[in-house]
Amino acid sequence: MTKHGIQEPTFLILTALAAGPQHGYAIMTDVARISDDRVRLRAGTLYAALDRLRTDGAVDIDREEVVDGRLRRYYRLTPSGTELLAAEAARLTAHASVATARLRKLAAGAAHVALRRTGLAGGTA
Amino acid sequence: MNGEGVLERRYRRLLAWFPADHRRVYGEEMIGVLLASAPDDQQRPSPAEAADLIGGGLSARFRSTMTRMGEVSWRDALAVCSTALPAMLLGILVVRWVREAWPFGPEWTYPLSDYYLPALAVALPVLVAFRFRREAAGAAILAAALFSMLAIRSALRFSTDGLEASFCIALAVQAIALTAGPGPRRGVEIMTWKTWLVVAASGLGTGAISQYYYRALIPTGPAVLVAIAILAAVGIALALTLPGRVARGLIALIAIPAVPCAVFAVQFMAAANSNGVGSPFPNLVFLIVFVLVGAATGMALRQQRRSRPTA
Repeated sequence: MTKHGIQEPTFLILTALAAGPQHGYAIMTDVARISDDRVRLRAGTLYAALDRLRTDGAVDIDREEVVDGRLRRYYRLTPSGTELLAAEAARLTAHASVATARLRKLAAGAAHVALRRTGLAGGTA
Repeated sequence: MNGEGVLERRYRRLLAWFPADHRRVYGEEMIGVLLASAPDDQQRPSPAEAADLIGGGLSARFRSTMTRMGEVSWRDALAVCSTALPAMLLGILVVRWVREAWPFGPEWTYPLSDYYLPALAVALPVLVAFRFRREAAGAAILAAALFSMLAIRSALRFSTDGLEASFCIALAVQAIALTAGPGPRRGVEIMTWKTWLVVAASGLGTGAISQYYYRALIPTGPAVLVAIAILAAVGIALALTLPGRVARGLIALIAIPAVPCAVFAVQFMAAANSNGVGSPFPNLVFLIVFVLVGAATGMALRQQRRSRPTA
């Protein structure tokens, strides 16, 4: 999974669980908050992802309780899930730092060209 | 029933898209989350919710199938396939031969009379395969390629049909089973007398249906339904008479040649009330056959290279 990276909703679910055990509805609201409302998970996507993560051993059930007659299950990150999230965060950070460095270089190059043009224009005047 | 009750019932109906195992573990929890996220006045799932639940359910079903297919013993499934598939094809042809030799009844033209050559090419290699598996695989590959070419020629001249394409693909699958699997000897070891009974019954049953199908002695719709029922019964019977790890693989392998027939039957039913049967689909199928034959040839060559003693 780490070799090819993980999908954004999965990354955000793991990030939400990094704050501590949470139940399904809390994960959905936390993911929306983390992504500034850009990613809005729905129940079908959330539980398909949770099932996959449980099968892969990245997430496990922390505890269960019944609230208003409805089952509420809390999920937590496993050590393997923590490793997965850390590896993905490091990968994204590395990509982001390369992108930032190149953007800085691009901006510096553009500024240099602009300066030269200004200088040339000044010389001919 | 109050508003939440109605909404809950509708959510439960959508949850049926998920496999039973998934529903057992997450069903109640998902209902709780869905109801918690729904506004107070919501009466029915929104289109986005419905799409998400259907998509999630299908994805969960696909994953569950893939997990189960991962447990399949493909070597044994290929071994049984290399024995059972030609036996089924032979069953179909036996019905045809018997019907043709029947002295009473009207004369009919067989659009698939070219079957006899490939039929022999399938039946003989299996008998030979007990001793000369590699040669038998080669013969099956050759038969598939030859029949593909004959079928393409016929498809270019006349309208062709799904049964012809199915037969063609069955030959290619047989070639692959003979080449990639351990061979019919292992297949016979695994098959019980009950499996043989299922194989014989399904071959003869499909043959009988194909006779009715071509002569339209019964309307096409019921014929198709009976054919589907036979295929389903074959699948269930195979699952009951073989170990699960073998049966799942075998059903998948036998389903490959059944696909063109099924698609053609649906197209036939759709076109029956309009202007006939003409369809470009079977012609496209032969491209798939060529790919399968190519794959089988590649595997045969690879196997030959592996089995050749190194200098």
